Amino acid sequence: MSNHVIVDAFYLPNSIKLKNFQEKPIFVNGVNYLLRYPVIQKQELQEIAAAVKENRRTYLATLPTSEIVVKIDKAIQLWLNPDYPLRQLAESLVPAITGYDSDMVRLELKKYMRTFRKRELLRFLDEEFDQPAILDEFRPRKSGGMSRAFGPSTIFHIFSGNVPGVQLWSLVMGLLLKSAAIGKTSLSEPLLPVLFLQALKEVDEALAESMAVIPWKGGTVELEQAAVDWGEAVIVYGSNQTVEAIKKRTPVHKKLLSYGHKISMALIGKEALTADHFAKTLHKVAEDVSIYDQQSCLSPQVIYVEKDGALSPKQFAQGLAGELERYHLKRPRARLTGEEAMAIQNIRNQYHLKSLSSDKVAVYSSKEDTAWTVIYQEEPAFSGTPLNRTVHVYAIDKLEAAADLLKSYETYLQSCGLAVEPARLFSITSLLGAVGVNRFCPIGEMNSAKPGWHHDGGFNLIELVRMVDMERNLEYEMEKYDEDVE
Amino acid sequence: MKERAMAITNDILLFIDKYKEGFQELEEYEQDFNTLSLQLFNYQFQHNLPYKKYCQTKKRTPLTVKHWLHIPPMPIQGYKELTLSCEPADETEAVFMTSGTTNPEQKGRNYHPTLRVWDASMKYPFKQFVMPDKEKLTMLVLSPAEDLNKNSSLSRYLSNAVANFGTEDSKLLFKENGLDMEELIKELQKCEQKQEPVLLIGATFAYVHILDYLQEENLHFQLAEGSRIFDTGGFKGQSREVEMEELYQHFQAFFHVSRSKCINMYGMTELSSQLYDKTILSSCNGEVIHDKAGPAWVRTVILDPETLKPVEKGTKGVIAHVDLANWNSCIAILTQDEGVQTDEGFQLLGRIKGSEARGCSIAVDQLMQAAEGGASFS
Amino acid sequence: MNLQEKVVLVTGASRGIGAAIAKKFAAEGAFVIINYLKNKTLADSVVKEIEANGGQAAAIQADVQVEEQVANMITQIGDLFGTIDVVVNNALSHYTFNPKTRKTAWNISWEDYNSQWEGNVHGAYNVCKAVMPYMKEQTNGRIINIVTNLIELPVIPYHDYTTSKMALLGFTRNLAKELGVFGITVNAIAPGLTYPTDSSSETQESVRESIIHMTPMGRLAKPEDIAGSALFLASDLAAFITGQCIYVDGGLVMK
Repeated sequence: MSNHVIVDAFYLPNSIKLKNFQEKPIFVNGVNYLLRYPVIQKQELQEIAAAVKENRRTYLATLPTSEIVVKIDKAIQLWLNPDYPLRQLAESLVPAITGYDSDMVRLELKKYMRTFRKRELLRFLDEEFDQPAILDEFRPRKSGGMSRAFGPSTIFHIFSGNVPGVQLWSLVMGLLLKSAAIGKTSLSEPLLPVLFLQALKEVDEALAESMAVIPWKGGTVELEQAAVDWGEAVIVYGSNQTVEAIKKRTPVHKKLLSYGHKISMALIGKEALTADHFAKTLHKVAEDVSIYDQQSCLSPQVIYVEKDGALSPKQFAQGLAGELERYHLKRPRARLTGEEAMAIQNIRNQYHLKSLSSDKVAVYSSKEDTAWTVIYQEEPAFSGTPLNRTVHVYAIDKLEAAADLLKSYETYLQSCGLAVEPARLFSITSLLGAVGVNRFCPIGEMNSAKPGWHHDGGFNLIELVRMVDMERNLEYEMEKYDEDVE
Repeated sequence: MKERAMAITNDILLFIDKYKEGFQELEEYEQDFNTLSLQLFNYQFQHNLPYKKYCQTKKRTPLTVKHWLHIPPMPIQGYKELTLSCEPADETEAVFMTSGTTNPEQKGRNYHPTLRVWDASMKYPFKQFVMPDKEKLTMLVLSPAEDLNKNSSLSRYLSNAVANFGTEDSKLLFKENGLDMEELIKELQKCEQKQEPVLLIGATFAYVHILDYLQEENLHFQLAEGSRIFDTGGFKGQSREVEMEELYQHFQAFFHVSRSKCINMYGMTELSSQLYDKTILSSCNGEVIHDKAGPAWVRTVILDPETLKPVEKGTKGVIAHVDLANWNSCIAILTQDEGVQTDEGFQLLGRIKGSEARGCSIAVDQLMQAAEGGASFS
Repeated sequence: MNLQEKVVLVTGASRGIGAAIAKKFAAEGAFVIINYLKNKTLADSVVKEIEANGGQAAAIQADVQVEEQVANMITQIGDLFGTIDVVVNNALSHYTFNPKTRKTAWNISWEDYNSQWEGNVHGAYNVCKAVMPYMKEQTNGRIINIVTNLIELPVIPYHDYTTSKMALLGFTRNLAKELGVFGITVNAIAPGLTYPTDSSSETQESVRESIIHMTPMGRLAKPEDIAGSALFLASDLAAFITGQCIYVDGGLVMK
C-alpha cells in the first residue's frame, strides 16, 4: 500500500541515471515520504564528475558573474515565498531528519536564505574583489597592468551535517567562481542543498547541471579519493579528524580550504548586568546557546561573566538555567543517541561531584533529561562541552583577563559574543583578536554570521582563485604591432 | 570498627548466608532485599557525608526514598573525587584502588574497614558460577595475587579463589618480575600429563601475551576435561585489543578448552561483589547461556542515559548496580558501561565513552594538547 | 497526586488555616514542615493526624520575626530534605478580629501598625530571603503569602492588620516580578473571614451574619476552602501564574 512521496536526497545532472538506491521512510505531518539515497561505486562517481565538469565548460564557465548573481537571487526569491513547495518540503523534512525543533528550523532557514539575496552577494563579491568583473575578464589594477581571476574549474565539497544550510554557502561560492561542484553531504542532513539546487534548476536548468550533490558515509576512501583527484580545489568541513584525513590525501598543489571544529565564547560585562539589562542579557545568551542545539561552531560553549553586576556570576548561571528551561519548552532540544546523552551525564557528574566539596562550583541542569546544563565555576578557565545545550559559566574579575585564558587555544577559537560598553569595545576586541578570536558580534546573534565574514579568519573567494597578471608594459609594448599605430 | 558498623555487617552476612544459593519465595526475597537496602541507604546517608550531600542535591533522602530503585546511584567517578566511607578512611583493613592511571590522585578508592563481607560475597558466587561441578580445582593464577598487591581487589580475589577452592597444586605464576611464562608452561605440561583439570585464571590482557608466546614457541596443550579458563577486566591498554570471539577460538586451539568452559567475571573496585557469565553454570545443565548474572545481594539495572530511569528489558542503556555488600561506601553505583537486560540476566556491551559529537565539540584531550601546559583549565 | 515529593513549609501551621493547608498538602503527597511559634502540642497533633492518614510531616519551632531562627529552621529543612519547593507564609502577629473592641482611626498608634508590619511583612520577608537561594538553585519554587480580602473591601476597618496585609501584597508582586527569571512564582491568597479560627472567634454572630448576607455563596470560608486555593497555587497547574491575588471569600469581593 504505497502512498509514498519519493524525495531524492541527491542532485545529479540529467544525463546520469543511477540504478542502486537505499530508501528510508519518514512519516511527517500526515505524509509518508520515502527518502532515496543513492548507492554508488567509484565508476559512477567518475561519470558524474565528468558530466558536471563538461556541463560547466559549455555553460557556467561562459556566464558573467553578474548574471550568475541574478540567477541565484531569482532562486532565493522563489524560496522567500512561504508557499514555495520546496521550502515547505524543507520545513517538513529537515526537522524530522535532524531532530531539531521544527519552528527553530523554519525561522533559522528563513533568516539564512536571505543572506543569499543579490544585495548580499554583491557585498560578498565587493568585499573580496575591488571589481567583481575581474572574474569575467582582465581588469585594470591600481598598480598598472591588468589581472583576471580564474576560479577552479572543479571543486569537491565535503560537508558536515550539524547545521542545516551551511552547505549552501559553499555551493554559492563555487557558482560565483564558475566552478563545477561535487558536494558530498552527510547522511545526517543531505536534503537542503538538493532542494536549493532544484530551486536553481527552476530558474536556469543548464546552470544547475554543473552541480552534483550526493550523500555517502564519511570515510569511504574510494569515493573520496576519486573526488579529490577530480577536484581542482577541495573544501572540507568537519571534525579535525576528518580534515586531517582529507589533507593527507590531497596533493599539495591543489587548493584546500578546511574548516575544522572550533569553540566560541561570550563575554558579559557588568554593564550588561545592571538591574534594567540583566533579564534581556540572559535571554540573548540563552538564544545563542540553544539555536541548533549549540551544534554550530558559532555557538558559545563558554560564557565569562564579570563580577559586580546587579546579578552575581552565580546568579547569572541560575538565571541562564531558567532561560534555557524556558527555551527548551519553546523549542525542545533534539533527541540524542545514548552516547551523546552519556557525554552530558558524565560532564554533569564530573562537576556535580566537585560541587559537593566546593562552593565555587555548581551545576544547574534540566531535571528529567539532558536537555540543558549550566556549569558554574568561580575560578575562570577554559574548557569545551559535549554541546547539545551544555555551557560553562565562569566568573571573572575583568573581562580583559579572558585573553590570557584563551591564548593557548588559538587554533580553536572562533566567535566571541560581546555585551560591553562602548569605551571598552575596541580594547577587548583587540586583546582577544590578538589571541585568535576572529569574529565579534553582539550576544543574541552569535549564530548569524553576516555575509562577507571571514570564515575562520580567512578569505573565501580569494583563497580559491588563481590570479593571472598581464604586466603593465605588455599592453604598451603590443601596441606597436597594431598596423594603425604610428 | 564501630559498633554500628558491626551491626550492619552482621545483617549483611545474614542476608548473604540466607540467599547464597538463590531464593525460593520471590516476594519474601524482594521484601528482604528492599528492607536491607533501605537500611543500608539510611546508614550511608548518616555516615558517608559526601554521599549524604550528593543525596540531598538529588532530593533523595531516607525520608523520601521508599524503594531501592530510588536510591540515588553514585557515579563511579565519585570514587576518585570523594572519600566515600562511613567509617574513618584511615582505620580500614584494606583500601582497594582502581588501576589505569599512574597518578595516585586520580585513583578511585573503595575503603573496607573489614573484609569479612567482601570475602563472603566473593566466595559463594565463585563456586556457583565458576565451578558448580567441582569442589576443588588446580588453579594457575596468571595475574598478581594479594602478596604482590594489597590494594587490588582482583589480587585479593585471586588469592581467595585459591585459598577457598584451589588444590595444593595451584600456583601463583605472576612474580615480582611479571608472569613467569616458563613456569606456566611447565605447570600446564604437568597437568596435561596427569590429565588433571586445571583452571586458568587472570586478567583478560594476560591471555593476549600468553597466546602470543605460545604462538611463537609453537606450543599447544590438550588440557583435561573439566579444565576451564577465567578472564576478567578487559584489555585496559595493557595489550592490544582482540575480539573476544577470536580469544575463545585461540583457547580452543591452544588449550583444547571449549567456549562453554570459558567464563568472564565482571567486577570493579567500586563494588564489593562480582558478576559472572552463566556459561559454565548453564553448560552443566543443558543449553549454554552467556548472559551475565550475580548473587542475590546484587541487583543490576539498565538506565536510559537521557533520563537515568530504568528502561524496558531488551533496550540498551547505562548500567547501574545495587550491591548490598558495598556497605561502607555506596550500595548504588552508576557505571559507564552499556548493557541490556535479557530473560537470563544482562549483557555487557562495552564502555559508553564520551561521544564523538556531531557538532563542533572538541575533546578535552585535544584542547589539552593545544594548551601544551599553558593556561590552567578545568 | 498534585504535590508528590514536594517539600513544603507552612508557617503558623499549628492550627486554623495553616493547619488546614498543611493537612491538605500532605494528603497530596508533599512532605510538610509545620512551623509554629508556641503551640507545640497543637503542632504535634497536626503532625500525628497527617501521619495517621498516610502522609509525612515534621514540626519545627521558630519565630518568623527573628531572622536567625528562620535561618536555622530553613537550614534544618535543607539538611533533612535537600531543598524546599513551596513556602506558605501564613504566620501572623496575633490579632483578634473583634468589631466592638477594635481601635478606631484616631485611637490607634503607630506601634499598633508597626507590630502588624513586623508580624506580617517582616516574617514573610525573613522566610522568603532564607528560602530564595534554595529555590534559585532549583530554578523552581512557589511562594504563597496569605493576605486578606479586607484589603479590597474593609467591611470592618482593622487599620493596622489590613494595612500590613496590603503591604504584603505589594511585597508579593514585586518579588513575583523579579524572581520569575529563576522559575519562582509568588502569589497571594486573600481569604474572607474564616471560621472556625482563633482570630475569628471574637467576631460577633451579628457581624458574621451580615457578612454572610453580602456573600453570594451564602457562608463564611472554612479553612479547607483556603487550603484548596493554596494547593492549586503550589501545584504545577499554576506554573504560569505569578503576582496574582486569589480572593477566596465566596464572592464577597469580585476582583
